[in-house]
Amino acid sequence: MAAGCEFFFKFDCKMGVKEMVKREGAGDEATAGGSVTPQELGQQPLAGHGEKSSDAVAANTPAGASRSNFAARIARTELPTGAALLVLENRATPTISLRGSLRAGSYFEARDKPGLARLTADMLERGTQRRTKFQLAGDLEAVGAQIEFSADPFAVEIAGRALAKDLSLLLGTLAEQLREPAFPADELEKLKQQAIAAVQEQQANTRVRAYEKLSQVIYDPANPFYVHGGEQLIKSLNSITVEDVRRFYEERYGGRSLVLSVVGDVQAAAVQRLFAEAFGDFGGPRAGVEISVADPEPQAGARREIVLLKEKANVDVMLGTAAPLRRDARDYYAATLANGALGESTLSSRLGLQVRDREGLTYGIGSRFRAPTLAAGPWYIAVSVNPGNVEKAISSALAVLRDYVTNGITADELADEKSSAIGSFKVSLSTNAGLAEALWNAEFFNLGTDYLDRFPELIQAVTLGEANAAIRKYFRPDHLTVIIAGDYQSTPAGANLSA
Amino acid sequence: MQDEKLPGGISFVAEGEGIREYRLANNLKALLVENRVAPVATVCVLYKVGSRNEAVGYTGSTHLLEHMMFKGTPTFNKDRNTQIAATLQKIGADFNATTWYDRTNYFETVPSDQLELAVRLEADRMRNSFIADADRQSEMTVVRNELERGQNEPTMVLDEAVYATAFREHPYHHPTIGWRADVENVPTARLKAFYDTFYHPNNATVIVVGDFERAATLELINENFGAFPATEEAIPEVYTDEPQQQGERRLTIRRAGELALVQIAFHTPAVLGQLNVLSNAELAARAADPPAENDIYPLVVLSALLSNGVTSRLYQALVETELAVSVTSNCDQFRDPGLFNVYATVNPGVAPSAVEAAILKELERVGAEDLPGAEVEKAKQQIIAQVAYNRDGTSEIASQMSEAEAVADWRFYKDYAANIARVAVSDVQRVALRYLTEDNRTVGYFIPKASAADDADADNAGANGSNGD
Repeated sequence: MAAGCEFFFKFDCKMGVKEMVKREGAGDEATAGGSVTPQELGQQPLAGHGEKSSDAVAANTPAGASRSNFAARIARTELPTGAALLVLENRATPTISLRGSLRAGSYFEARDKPGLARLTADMLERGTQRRTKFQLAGDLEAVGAQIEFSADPFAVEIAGRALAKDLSLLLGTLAEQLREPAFPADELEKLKQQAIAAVQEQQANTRVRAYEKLSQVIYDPANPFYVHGGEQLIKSLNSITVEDVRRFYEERYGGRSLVLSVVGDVQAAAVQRLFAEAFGDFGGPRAGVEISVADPEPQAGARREIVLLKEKANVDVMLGTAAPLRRDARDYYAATLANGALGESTLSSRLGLQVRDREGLTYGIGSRFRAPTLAAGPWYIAVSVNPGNVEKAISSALAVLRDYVTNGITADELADEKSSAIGSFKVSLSTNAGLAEALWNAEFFNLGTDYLDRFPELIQAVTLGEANAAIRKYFRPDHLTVIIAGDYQSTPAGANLSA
Repeated sequence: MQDEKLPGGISFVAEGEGIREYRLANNLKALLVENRVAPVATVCVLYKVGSRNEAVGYTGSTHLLEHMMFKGTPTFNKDRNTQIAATLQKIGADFNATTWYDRTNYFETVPSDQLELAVRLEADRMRNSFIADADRQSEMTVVRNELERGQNEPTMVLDEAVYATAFREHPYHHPTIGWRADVENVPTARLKAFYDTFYHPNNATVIVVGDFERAATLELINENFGAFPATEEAIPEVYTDEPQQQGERRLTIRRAGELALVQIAFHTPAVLGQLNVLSNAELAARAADPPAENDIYPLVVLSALLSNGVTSRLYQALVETELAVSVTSNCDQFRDPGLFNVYATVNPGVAPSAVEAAILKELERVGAEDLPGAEVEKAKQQIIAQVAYNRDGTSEIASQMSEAEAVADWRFYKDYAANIARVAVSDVQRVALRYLTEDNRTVGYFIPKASAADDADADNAGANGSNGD
């Protein structure tokens, strides 16, 4: 706490790398860009300054024989069950990073049980048939290792790290949690109360509430991107029983959709052996892992809603729509580059240059495709603003968007966006955590182990015509839903929307 | 290694674990770490000026100035299509700048073939920034919205009030973002004066970590930063010590919200163990030859064993018992004496006073009862593992070195894990008894207005000095 101030808040993650990170629930902008300081996360003592004296800070061994070719260094194996493992040896630090997923997210839960997928994932840490929650945590904490689970619309995500010497402890514990959870009733009760309190706390957050409302306006409750309201979610959480959790686990958890990436100071063969031992006979799941979503038609016409939250100094505004863009869309790269020039950077993209830099109306403005994944998620512009500047900010953002749609992206802008995407991709691959994320991403979206090498070509291949076609297809200034969340009193409906 | 041929005017100062310290003729400190794990490099420029250098009327100026440093120079600006942010964005740089109590830093991680651009840009804005009044006016409202965003968060509102109460005289009293009226009204001339007082090579450290060639990089730093002379006047010092607290202080904030919060803070030493404000020269001397005993390390271990993970004492006493939704603690590691904080989010239906009592009971137990060695060992291992994780990437290394330079020097970073490893059970108990005392503490409550039941409880706390708004 007592956090410092940053020049800007990183609104969005770079494409291709962190698309799936912490997307669960609403309002993840609070942490999405990785720019929240450790202090704000209450982790300062551990994230504090420091350096292990037995290891030099400097590292002069390149991560591999050829730094430019990742495909040759990535070891991919697949078990007969369908579970996939990707390993990349990187001896930069004596640590390992782990990322992974199973297809057991909220898409698979019954419509009247929102929160079940998330509770099931969280329960994995709360005791196995061999160890209590306290014992599990104690064994990991004793060596400073961590394993975390979270549920998003499609996947249960796994994130872990440990010192390299603790590789088998890390994988062994993960396997025990995934394969032998005990689901103790008292732990479920505690978890439910914690989850409910967290939902209550989030109900006071303007950003969370803005996104929640946007999702409710633009999606049908059956859509995986629909965010249930706090009251309904709390009611559902309260009703969930051990039997519900156990049934969901038995039907949905299994090795078939397991993807794991491990990067760090390891031997690929050793990781592969441990993986096969731990998950070789992890069969199932009983039910399917296929995902079939009918993406909604984008809305016609403008809408506006206000979410009143009293005594808030800042208002969060979102202007959004359902965007028919999936990860495997042919125009995925064109669309993300088109969005980049509009709203990737709160400082130098079109929206930021006008609304923040010229007019000073906001600390943060940006636009993003929130989740182009196995189904198409929303696209929106988000801006934070003083209550007195709400209408000005909305008009200004819409004017920028209209100009962009009318006149298109310039060749220079597109060239800058390309070099930005390629450069930042390179930067993101400079850590174990970033590499593990990229490997997992490539596998989850079936992009191939050579994706890390191909990324620059994929970006360079986008033409001006393709970028402009994407702009016209996805950005429709007269067909947006505007959500205003904060201490803001209603003005005449539709004001400024058609300005 | 140490008889390397150096560009004119640069001298080699010291080396440790791959960190090499150099000094330019104008007294700029340069720290280089070669790390060729990936084809990237991080440049970080640290200025030893933070909100500790401010006073009433111009609180928040350091931070506002940091924003102005993106508004351009004669070389990098919008009119020439070389806006600073756009220039960095288009090469894919991961960049930002941050301001805190003790320092301001500017940093970017770039593909290593763009290192020259990063160094050139950072050197340029050290002395050539515009700081124009028109820019200040539009940027003021940007910063004010940043402040408003913070005011939306109950945890930040309470934290700000606790610091303002625990620190009565020392400038950690006011938040880095500044008081609203100061942010709105500070004149541009004042910001310019701040810039001309503190943004000089003899008040800065340049850190470069990553994939580069050392001799060429030293040459690059010398060419770009070497052009600016050191100031003739000494950099102004802070000398306002916080007097010892004599008795518990309490405060309550009532505002719309959902969950109640409890924060308990205790005064602690500065990062090198001192209990008073040091001049820049005194600090440099102490950092180069740190005292054998430093209570900061056992306090950091104490914080970890109290709140890090499911097996930690506060988690067991508060979260497992369902008194609190979450609990965390933190020991400031600042240039001047800071605070040891415990933060709890109160479970709905529980009285904040019950949470406060449970926290205080656990804090008391550390010193009063037997403390198992295994528990201390676990906390130390967690910190040491974290130190290793924090070396994952050039950006992380540069950031940690920058924090260390702001409060001590890079040796604090280098020796951190070894110093944590040396902490004994008796040290942890000793610091718990010494600092976590009633007279030394400040207790703050955030009470959501909607919750009438909790109001009664807060009244019992005997609120005074509430000033969160």
